[in-house]
Amino acid sequence: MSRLLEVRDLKTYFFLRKGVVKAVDGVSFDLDKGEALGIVGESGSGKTVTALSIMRLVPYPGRIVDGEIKFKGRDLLSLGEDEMRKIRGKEISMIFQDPHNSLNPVYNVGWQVGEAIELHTEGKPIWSRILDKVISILRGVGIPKVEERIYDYPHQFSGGQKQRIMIGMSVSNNPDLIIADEPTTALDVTIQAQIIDLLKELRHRYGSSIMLITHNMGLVAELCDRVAVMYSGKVVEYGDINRIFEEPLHPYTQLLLECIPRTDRDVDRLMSIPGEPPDPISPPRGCRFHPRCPYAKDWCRRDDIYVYRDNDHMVSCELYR
Amino acid sequence: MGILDLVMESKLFLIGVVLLSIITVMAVFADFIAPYDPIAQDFSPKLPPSPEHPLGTDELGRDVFSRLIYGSRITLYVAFVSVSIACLIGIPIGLVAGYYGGAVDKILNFAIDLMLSFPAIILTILITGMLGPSLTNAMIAISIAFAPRIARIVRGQVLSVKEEDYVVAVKAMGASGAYTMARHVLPNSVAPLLVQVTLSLGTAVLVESALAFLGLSAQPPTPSWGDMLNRGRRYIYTAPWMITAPGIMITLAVLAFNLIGDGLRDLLDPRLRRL
Repeated sequence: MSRLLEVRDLKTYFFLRKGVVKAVDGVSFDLDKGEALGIVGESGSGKTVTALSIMRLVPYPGRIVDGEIKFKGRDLLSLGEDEMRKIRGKEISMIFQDPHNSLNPVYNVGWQVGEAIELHTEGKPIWSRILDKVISILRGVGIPKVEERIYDYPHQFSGGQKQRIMIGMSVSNNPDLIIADEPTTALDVTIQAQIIDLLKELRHRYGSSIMLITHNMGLVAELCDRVAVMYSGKVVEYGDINRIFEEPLHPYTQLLLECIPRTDRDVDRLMSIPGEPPDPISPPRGCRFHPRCPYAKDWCRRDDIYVYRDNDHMVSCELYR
Repeated sequence: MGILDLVMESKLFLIGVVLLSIITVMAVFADFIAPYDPIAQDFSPKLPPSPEHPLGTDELGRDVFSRLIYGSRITLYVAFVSVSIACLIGIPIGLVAGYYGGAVDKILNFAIDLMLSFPAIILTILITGMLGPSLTNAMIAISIAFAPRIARIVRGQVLSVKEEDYVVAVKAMGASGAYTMARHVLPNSVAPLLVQVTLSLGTAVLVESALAFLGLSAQPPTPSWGDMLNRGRRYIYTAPWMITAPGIMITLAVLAFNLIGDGLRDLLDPRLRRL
């Protein structure tokens, strides 16, 4: 398999008056062609900012301060805005968390899907051809009675249907990479399963790579080949999905997996990781997880946390020194 | 409940629409409605209201009713043209400031604040004073005074709309900044803008009348409500109809725009739209 995306030591900081928020602080991972990577972590761990950094859409006052993002051999961080625009939506597309808010309320759905195609059409767009494509895309993501419904407005669709439309828009230009940022968080559980099935199906149909951002380990297990676990702007464990699920090495990953509700064990209360996520402006020294870690020792405060590597597997924890 | 039912329900909005319609009809069909030539003088000055002159005549023997009707032209013309120009200047400034943020926003916002620190009336008097009194200059002055108000509303709206997921989504699809602003941010910012524009029209009527009252707008013998007010002031004891009639008209015109503006604010409020 050939390498599609290489992220090396990415640092995206937000410069606030109160201080610098190191939302993404030295993140590295790879994604091969056709592969699905899960990025897991709790809210505020930098998952979404990582995705927006790849798209080069980090909002003000955020800035990518360091690192390298190589996509199909090109360094995305050195591209001009015009070149980057040609990549967005065409080679890398993104699906957002809240489908209720991802479609513009003032335009009908057909127009918006058409817009996604038209933005990457060279020369004068031929609307009848675009319309045909819109219909086939929306049919492909399972919207019933497409010919009538393309003239409907977003508020006339259910949340699940809107997310299907968003997914349709994201595959409309056959992208190499689809970044799905918590695509099921705003949907109820039965719809979640359908959306993940749809993503799986489209992945096989179009051969796109997927980067799934979620805090739901279950979804990662469903869809992904590899997983990167993020905590407070850093990747704490990265590797093959089976290995991480069978034998998680980082204490945070272990606790995260413990938190998945299970039916084969009789428990009264759901597990949670004690403590709170660190303050993003002044995170703890050394391993950022150490204040909540059951195995924490004094040396976990040291600045150079040990990184254990075994082939493709990476863990950043003092336990394995 | 449909939008039409809501319109029918808001009585004040309807009153505003009716008032504005009457003034518009007066302006458009002035030639047919006015019984006399508004600038024709005769030798019957300051006649009290009578069947021949429903609102009496002024100090030069001109029919007040006819002048009132022709005066609505100036009023509406100035209000619409100057507020339109204010929009043409203010909307792009507000869009750019709100959308790009950062240093651009800081500079533009400072300029807006600076302009807004002058009351509209003082600023317009200052500008017409510099450019010289005429109808065109009055319109330029009103446009300049109102542009920052429009810009501020647009900026505030853009600041919230640009954070919406669909705007980020459009950029993630490869749309350029200008495209996103025009196609996605602006259409979602019109509701408060529409309200502000309508209320500005009312204020523009008032400011124009004030300028005319001071002799800084349309020059005699052009019939204008503010100028009529100024003339009537001198004869307020001997010929009160001269000042009452234009005074009432200015009030009604401003009231019409304000009622429509307030009504629009309610109608466009999604919390009130019971679907």
